[in-house]
Amino acid sequence: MKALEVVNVTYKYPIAKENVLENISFSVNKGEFVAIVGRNGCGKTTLCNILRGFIPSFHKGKFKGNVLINEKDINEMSMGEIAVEVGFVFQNPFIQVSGVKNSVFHEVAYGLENLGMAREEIIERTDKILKDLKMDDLRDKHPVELSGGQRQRVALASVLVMDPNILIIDEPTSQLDPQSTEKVFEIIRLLKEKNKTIILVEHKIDLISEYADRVILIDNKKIVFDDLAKKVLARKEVMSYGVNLPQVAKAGIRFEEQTGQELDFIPSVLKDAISVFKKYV
Amino acid sequence: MNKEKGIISKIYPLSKLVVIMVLAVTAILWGDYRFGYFIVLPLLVFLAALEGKFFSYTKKMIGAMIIMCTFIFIIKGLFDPSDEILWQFAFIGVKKEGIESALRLTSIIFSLGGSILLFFETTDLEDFMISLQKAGMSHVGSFIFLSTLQMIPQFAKKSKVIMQAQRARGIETEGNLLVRMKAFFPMLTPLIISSITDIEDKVITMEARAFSVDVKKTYLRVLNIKTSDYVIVVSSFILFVIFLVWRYIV
Repeated sequence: MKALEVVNVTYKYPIAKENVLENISFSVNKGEFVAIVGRNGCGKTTLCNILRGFIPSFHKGKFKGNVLINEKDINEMSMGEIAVEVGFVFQNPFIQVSGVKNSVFHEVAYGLENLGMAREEIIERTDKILKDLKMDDLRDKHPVELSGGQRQRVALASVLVMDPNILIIDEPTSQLDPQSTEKVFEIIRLLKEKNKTIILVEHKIDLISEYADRVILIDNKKIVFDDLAKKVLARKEVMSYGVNLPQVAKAGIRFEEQTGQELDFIPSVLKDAISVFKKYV
Repeated sequence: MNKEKGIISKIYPLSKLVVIMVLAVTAILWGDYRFGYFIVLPLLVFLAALEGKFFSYTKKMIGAMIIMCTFIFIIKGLFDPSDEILWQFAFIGVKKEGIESALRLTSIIFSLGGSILLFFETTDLEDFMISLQKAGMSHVGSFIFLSTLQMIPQFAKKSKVIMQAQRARGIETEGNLLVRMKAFFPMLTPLIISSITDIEDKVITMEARAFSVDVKKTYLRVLNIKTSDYVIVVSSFILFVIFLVWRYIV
């Protein structure tokens, strides 16, 4: 079953001269983990906003095409209905604090209050998510006192606590150190295990290759590649679109170039790299 | 989960608001500056001390009083059209009626402002928002109200950031009044534009947090009206009615 479907979407911002996206079409199956990659300014965040219905509801401009959530047209859904089904974590951690809560615990619980959940359940779910994300130390801190990285984790927790079936996550690790980044990806992996549909915008390509099922590469308003992660991230030409390749893929490509020997395939994850390079050791 | 609260903070926000409003309106209607200066202000300071906020409260009040008093006493004292001169320094005459009028005006301003300040010093804004919602204010309305209250400190914070950014680009932001004014005006445009975009972002963020889901909202924070809160409201009204009768009928 398709969790999300984008059909022929074209969009231009109100004062822009050119479209930012043109004829974008793809679908995401339930439980699939899709990473969206591309150089800065290629329209990844715009696409996320389209998937969540913020475009054209909030950001006006010229919008054409259709977005379907669980095979239902997004135009027929209210913002509230979408919020229940689709969780959205924004790129900028500084805008994601409600401003009306005095502690991280209450901030994370805010979405559940808006969903009208019973108090006991709110406490239970908030407690659990803070423990799962190893954020117990932040629970009594005031949200505005947090650093960018801490706010990013709070933003992620605030959305995950609502337990939506589809998650759109826009660069959740941009302010995080390597260890925290790994933790976030670990959480995303657990979400995938729970059969959640995940759309992730990220630049950390090694982690994408490790965790994502599929990669969509956007460049110059269009989708350039849309295939299995291990296929897209093993292609040398990906680098010409401003996207890096995983270290192991680069090693494979360089090996072929320098030795003239052809590998069985270009690996994109460490596990594959070990098996590919084994026979040359 | 709630932090240990002081005696004033424990009062239900709307009950507290009633007391504060009664106090402020009484000061306005009384008309005698002595009520404001010798009863309301000491009472407010005493209540702040009970809450353990004596220093922070008096510091803010004194700061505001110095600025306001300076302006009001100068304008009222020197430019009052009355003839009775209280003091004469060379060609400057300080009018008696002007000073009395300034005393009345400042006592009203400080009673009203001091009451409001004490309310916000001793009230958790989230509690206030919940109490408004429980009193029938809409979810959206109370959120906007609360967000608006928070705009002033956010503006101050943002303007500091913009000033620092401008300083980093070599613009003089410190020095005499003229230099500061020159730095202040170019800051307004980015401040206003970024504040508008922040509001847009906030709207979208709230949508992502299920703000507009059409269900009865629940609250994690427990906020109940106690008998003492009713007693406070009823007593305030009784005292206010007694005051009105004394002031206008007897």
